[in-house]
Amino acid sequence: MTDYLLSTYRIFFISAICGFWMGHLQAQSDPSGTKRVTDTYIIKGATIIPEPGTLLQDQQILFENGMIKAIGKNLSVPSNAQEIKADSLFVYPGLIELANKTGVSKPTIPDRPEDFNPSSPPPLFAGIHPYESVLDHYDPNFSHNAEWRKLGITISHKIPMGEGFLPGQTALVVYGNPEYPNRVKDKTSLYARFHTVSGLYPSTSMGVMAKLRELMENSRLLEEHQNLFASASGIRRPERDKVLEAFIPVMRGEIPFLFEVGSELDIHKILRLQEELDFKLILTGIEEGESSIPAIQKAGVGVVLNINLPEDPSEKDDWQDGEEEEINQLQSRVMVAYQARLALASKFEEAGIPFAFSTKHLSKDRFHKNLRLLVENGLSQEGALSALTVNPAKMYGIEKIAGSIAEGKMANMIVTTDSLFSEKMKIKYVIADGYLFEYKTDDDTDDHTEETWEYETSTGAGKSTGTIKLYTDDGKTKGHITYDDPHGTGKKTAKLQKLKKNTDRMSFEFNVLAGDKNLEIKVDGTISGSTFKGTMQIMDLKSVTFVARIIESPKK
Amino acid sequence: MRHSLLPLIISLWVLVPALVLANEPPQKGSVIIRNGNLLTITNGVLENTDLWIENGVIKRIGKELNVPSDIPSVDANGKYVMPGIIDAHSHIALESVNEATSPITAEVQMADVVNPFDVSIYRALAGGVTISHAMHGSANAIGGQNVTLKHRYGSKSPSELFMKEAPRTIKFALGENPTRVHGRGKNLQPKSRMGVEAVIRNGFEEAKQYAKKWETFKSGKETGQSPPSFNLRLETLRDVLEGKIIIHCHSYRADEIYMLIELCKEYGIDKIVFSHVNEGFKVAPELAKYTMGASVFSDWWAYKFEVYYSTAYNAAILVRNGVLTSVNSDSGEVIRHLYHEAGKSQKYGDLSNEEALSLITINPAIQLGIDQWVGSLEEGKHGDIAIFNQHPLSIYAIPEMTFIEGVKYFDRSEDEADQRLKVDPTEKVETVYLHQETHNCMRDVDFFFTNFGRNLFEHKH
Repeated sequence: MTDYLLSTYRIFFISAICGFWMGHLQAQSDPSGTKRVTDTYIIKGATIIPEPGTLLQDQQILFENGMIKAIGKNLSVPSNAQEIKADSLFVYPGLIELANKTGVSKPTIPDRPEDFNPSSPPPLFAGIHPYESVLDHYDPNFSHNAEWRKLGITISHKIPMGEGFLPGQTALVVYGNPEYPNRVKDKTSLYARFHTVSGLYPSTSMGVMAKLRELMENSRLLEEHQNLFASASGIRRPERDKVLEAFIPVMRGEIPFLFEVGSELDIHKILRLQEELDFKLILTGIEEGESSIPAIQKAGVGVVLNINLPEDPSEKDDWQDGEEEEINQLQSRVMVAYQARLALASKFEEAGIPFAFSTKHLSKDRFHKNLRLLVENGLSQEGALSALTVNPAKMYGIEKIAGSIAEGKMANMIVTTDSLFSEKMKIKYVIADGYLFEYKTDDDTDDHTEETWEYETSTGAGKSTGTIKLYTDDGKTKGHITYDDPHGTGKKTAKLQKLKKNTDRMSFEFNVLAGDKNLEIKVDGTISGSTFKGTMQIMDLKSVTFVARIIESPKK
Repeated sequence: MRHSLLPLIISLWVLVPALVLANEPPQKGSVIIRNGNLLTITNGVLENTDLWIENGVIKRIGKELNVPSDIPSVDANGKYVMPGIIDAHSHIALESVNEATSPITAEVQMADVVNPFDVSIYRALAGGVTISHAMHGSANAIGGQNVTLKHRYGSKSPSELFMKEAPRTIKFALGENPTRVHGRGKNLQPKSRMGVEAVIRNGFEEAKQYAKKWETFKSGKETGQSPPSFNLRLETLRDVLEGKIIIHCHSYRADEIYMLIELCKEYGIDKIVFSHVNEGFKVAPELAKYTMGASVFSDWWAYKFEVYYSTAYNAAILVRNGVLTSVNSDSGEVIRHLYHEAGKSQKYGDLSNEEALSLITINPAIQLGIDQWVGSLEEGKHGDIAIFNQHPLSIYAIPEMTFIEGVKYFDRSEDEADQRLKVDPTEKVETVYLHQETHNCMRDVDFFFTNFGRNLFEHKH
């Protein structure tokens, strides 16, 4: 529910003039037109920032088959290398972003049996499926991945989806060629949160805490049982338990718990559990709680800050400039809270706690703006870059292959026209897993292309189909829907009203003129991967199933 | 450009209360309260007497005490100093109240969901209340484990509010709430008062079997044993059976109270306090003999069928029959004037000043198992005090200052319009509900009611 309420931070979909292969490089003999001529490239004349705090000028970078082969001034260039001219351009390590659900869908939950007991539901129904790997529910081809890549993100930490508090295990993927699964590292952490399935045990965060204590102790006992069974005779065989077995690596300290925290109180709750049970922990989605920094530092846990920031309250419509002291007092406190939010990352930096960023609830057009806001509010540029490169790489143990530009590492880089945190900065190339993506850098780049969904519904009068087009206008998501004209003459178009959309939910309303009647129609449902499933409510008369699929955003 | 307002905002901010800006306040302090009328509760009234708190503990009570010059002094001449008020049944400072999904949820802990930012804590301090018993709600026959809080408002870490000395307590609930939530709401046991008894009895029996299973395994007497599974719910109930946890049971009717007394006798449990107990006057001798007493409302009833047979004389009748009795709030509003609630026992039942004040000090302290530290003004006890301008049982009395372990958390002369600790950067004015619907026994359980049920049972306890 929280996710849905937070839909005010709408996800905006910006132009997808990205994700294309370098057409002119394609081999003529390749009938499918997808094979590259070469996988060897050389970047020439670049200023490179191989890692935060280091700057080298007039450099060449040779990469081949997804790996960085050499960095230097006068490299010997293989004859099959494609040259990338980067004079006056900057090359940064590809950005790493943690905790993202783009392209991830929920595992299927079966229908509840007739004798279903909500006080003791089978784990799957209560959202307890920690054995699920996000990679089994991830579509690398999902169009939005390309849009994140366009922002410079090359490695993304995918978190599993589900209805409850233990949706599964996370994995790191690279935004390379979407025809491949693109795994960088699997089972990087066990993901948990306080979100529960309404009406089923456990439903509150205190219930979740109790259940976690019990699950972890039982996984320890299961391992004890397994060891006993392996070493002694006369012991009953240990029963298979997928849930408890998924916890064993956490109890052994082999993988961390990745815990989503919605509030400062969540931070305290999970630190309390960590103190009791001693496991490796990474807190993700932190967006408040400067006063919890000492406790976080003492516990030595990993930190992932949410890069989504609230709107400047003084830019809102209800902000009043005036003489009235009470209003000023209230507003000043809101403003101080807002500024504390902007300064939070710098407070973690001051405390010497390394952190990474998550893009939870972030609309893509805010990514670089928010980075700049954090830098304007006390975070050092080096700190911001570390949070997007070396820190997340270390947090998940991939620092040998990612997080900086060095020989032998994955060819994940971004080529920019200016310093990464400059307002004028444009991204010219993104190299992910050795694949090259080029973007327009001229100023007239339009930033409001849409996303198109094809829907199908059945109103009783037969099947009805149409499209939903969504676009960003003036920072807001807007849209239109086409539908079969009730008078039987082709398609009509209506404006979407009360449109709400985030990564896993969408709802809107529209009006259909039928005869002299104005039918009010409401659509509400969930998004899982590229599918939308929900219901369409026609006045109070009828409720029918409404299914839609996203169509690839148009590529250049 | 709207940002031009910023310097003004920042300058205004400086005026916002120091409490909000200060770092975490120290947990223990020293202070000398001069020349107050001390309502000690356990040792009568001491007029024009000094009370010296040193490092959180009452060091000396006496006339014209010599104290080190660096200790701050409060002039209480003509004022009344009483032990900090204790609320034995409350739901303030909690993120959630009911894990209403199962008839027994002994495994959940309110300590996991303490919310130190709740402004109700400050309001309670403004009513002289220093300790509240933050309880699980009454949706389940056996609810979760409660936590006893010291109202250290300003602390941002939940655990800094915990009264570490307090023993464990657990919530039980009888009657309409558990039968409605589980029986009517979900078609599960319990559907009747008989069912409530059966649920509790089954829980106890399962806990006994569970304890035995673990004992056998740990003793190593039987070979080929593998570890039994761990069950936090039954672990807790085993501790209840072993007397390690005090039961605080939501109850109204005499029959159900008598049932649980008999059930506890059968299982050898004597650590039980009954809450609300509107028909307690009918079973007063039994409550006196077999329990740790009753925690009642002063004059609150008729909000649902099982609460009709009630009387404002309940507290006095219970006290006169030797029942250890306290008056509680169960409300973020009533907690601000528990001294009035205690005073009502004088209007209805002629309790003495000391008896009336005991209802909100030493008696709830005993029921929470914390009377060796708090509940009266005695040397060696915690320096938890409330200072009133007049006798607290006077209807004109106003609480002026509240201290916890020698640290001042409320001072009427420094009270600001906005005492919030935490402000949401996305909402200029936070939603305020005129209808008081938080901080009560049935919070978080709305989900299970149909509209019919909600209309029929519009009540909060």
